[in-house]
Amino acid sequence: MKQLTVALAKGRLAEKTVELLEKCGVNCAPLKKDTRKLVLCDADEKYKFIFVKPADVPTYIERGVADIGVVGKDTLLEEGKDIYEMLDLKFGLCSMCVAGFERKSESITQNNLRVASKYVNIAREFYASKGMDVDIVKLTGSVELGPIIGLSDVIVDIVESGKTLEANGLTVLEEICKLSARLVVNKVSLKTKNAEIMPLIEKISAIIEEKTV
Amino acid sequence: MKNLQLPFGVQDCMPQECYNKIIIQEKLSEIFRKHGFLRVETPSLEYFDVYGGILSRDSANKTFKMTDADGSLLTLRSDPTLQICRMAATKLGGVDKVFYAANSYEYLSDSYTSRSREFSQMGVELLGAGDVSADVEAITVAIEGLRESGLCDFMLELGQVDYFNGLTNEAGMSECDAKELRGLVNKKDMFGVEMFLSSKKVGERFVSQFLLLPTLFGGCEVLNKARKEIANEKSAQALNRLEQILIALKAARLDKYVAIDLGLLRGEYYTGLVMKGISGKLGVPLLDGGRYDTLCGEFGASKPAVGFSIGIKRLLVALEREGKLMSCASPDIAYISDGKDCGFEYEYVAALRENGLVVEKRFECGKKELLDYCAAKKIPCAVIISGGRAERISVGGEEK
Repeated sequence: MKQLTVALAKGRLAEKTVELLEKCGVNCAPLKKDTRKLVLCDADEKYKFIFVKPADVPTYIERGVADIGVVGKDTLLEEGKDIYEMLDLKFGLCSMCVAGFERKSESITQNNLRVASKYVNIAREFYASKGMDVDIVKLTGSVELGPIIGLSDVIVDIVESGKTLEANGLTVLEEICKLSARLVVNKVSLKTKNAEIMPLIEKISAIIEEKTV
Repeated sequence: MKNLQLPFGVQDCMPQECYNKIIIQEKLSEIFRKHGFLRVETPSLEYFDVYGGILSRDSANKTFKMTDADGSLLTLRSDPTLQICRMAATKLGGVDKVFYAANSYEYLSDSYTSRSREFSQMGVELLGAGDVSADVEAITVAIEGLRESGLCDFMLELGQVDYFNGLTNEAGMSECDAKELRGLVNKKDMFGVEMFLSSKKVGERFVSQFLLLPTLFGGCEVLNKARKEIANEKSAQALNRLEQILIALKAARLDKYVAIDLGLLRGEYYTGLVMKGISGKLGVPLLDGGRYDTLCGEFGASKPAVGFSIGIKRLLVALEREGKLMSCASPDIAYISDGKDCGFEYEYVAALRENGLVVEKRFECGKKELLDYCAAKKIPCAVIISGGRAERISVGGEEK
């Protein structure tokens, strides 16, 4: 049996994934220890886990250094990598939204809507689909500040509970799409390690079905 | 949906903005004309090789380029000043004061930049005069222009690159080192300046003078501060010229619009005075200029010159933030006609327009639609022309 390399997005998604894998019979005990190691194996050494920044998961998968991975749909949309997206894991639920103030700008000299976002590709494609001319301002965090301080008119960002928006007086103006964690697979690994990957996917799929029914 | 979006860094100019833009451009033109400047227009397309040798590598990379039918490399206008220097060398003849209103183009690759790839500029070039009074004239025109546009909260920062050049010469620095140092001083990166100078083993006396540079901004007192320990003629001369400018502006009571910044060291082609117009309402400069005595020579007709250009969009944004923009005048009258007596109709509306009213004809609509339109657009008066008769209906609001 070939060892599978699994790329996990550090944080909550990784924790949820470990839970899920345990239900599939993977002994994840070594993963639960408090460690700073970035590469870990399960007890049976069937899997090698690497912990990476969420935005990098698709890169590891696309280049084949990891066979499968778990990452948010937001990252997949933003990075646009050439990988298989095989399962909706139905956790990490949230949505990509346009948020801002209700009132409209009445500026004469500003023709384009100014959009601040970490997700510049998602924002650009969304507005392109509406045929709108926008100025996209790329930020790396605290995008809610954009409309508050006058850097932008709206933001495009992930909204989970909406509490951060609310605390800053912003409201969701439009939902772009729903987001959740996805199981992604390298296009070659699916063929070369089919005997290892497919049974795992089937197990995970069954567990998700069970939960949703 | 069909994709009708614009590429990044360009914009449509909508009616309200256009309306204000034209007014501002007309105000600026009027000031320029009153100072004897004549308007010229330059083409958007030129051969790249005319400018390729003059521009720095960095600037050359920032020009839009395309190939002509015969394979020659063309470029979109990147700087009207360069074009006017070319004109001065080839065909301007005795004309030595020109102004322009044109769009310039900057090739940018970062689509998230705050800069535009197409921007409207208006500027003046005063050719053939190297005297300090020409500097004063350029500054005066700049101040009057900004003031006439309606802008209140603005300031022209004045610098003198020769002060810095004198120091680097005296310190025996190579042109290359001087350029690097200029970049650091321009950023007011004191630590960088210190590191650079110690790595180049520059004499202690100069180190303290260079370190002082980023702090040399403010009023007249800056010049006295800078004058201490200046031994070279070039720097002293530069300070004298700035002082003469300040004296002249003070006498004309324009000194409240200017401030000195000896750390303002514009790169590119500037050789003496440099100026930068800033507004308290805007985080970016809206006017740029200075003296460029060697640029015309690059085109084969050596003559001193000084000029500036105003970023029209930036000026409009600053004016809007000061609450100085106006709404487009809406029509005073909207009318419909049954077209049975075109002669009467024409005479009737022409007379109204003669009296200064804006009279808009509506098409394919009846009385009700006309009145609804007037109400929606806050047009005070509707007129219905049928045959040789005109019926005026007051829609409410103030009628002229």
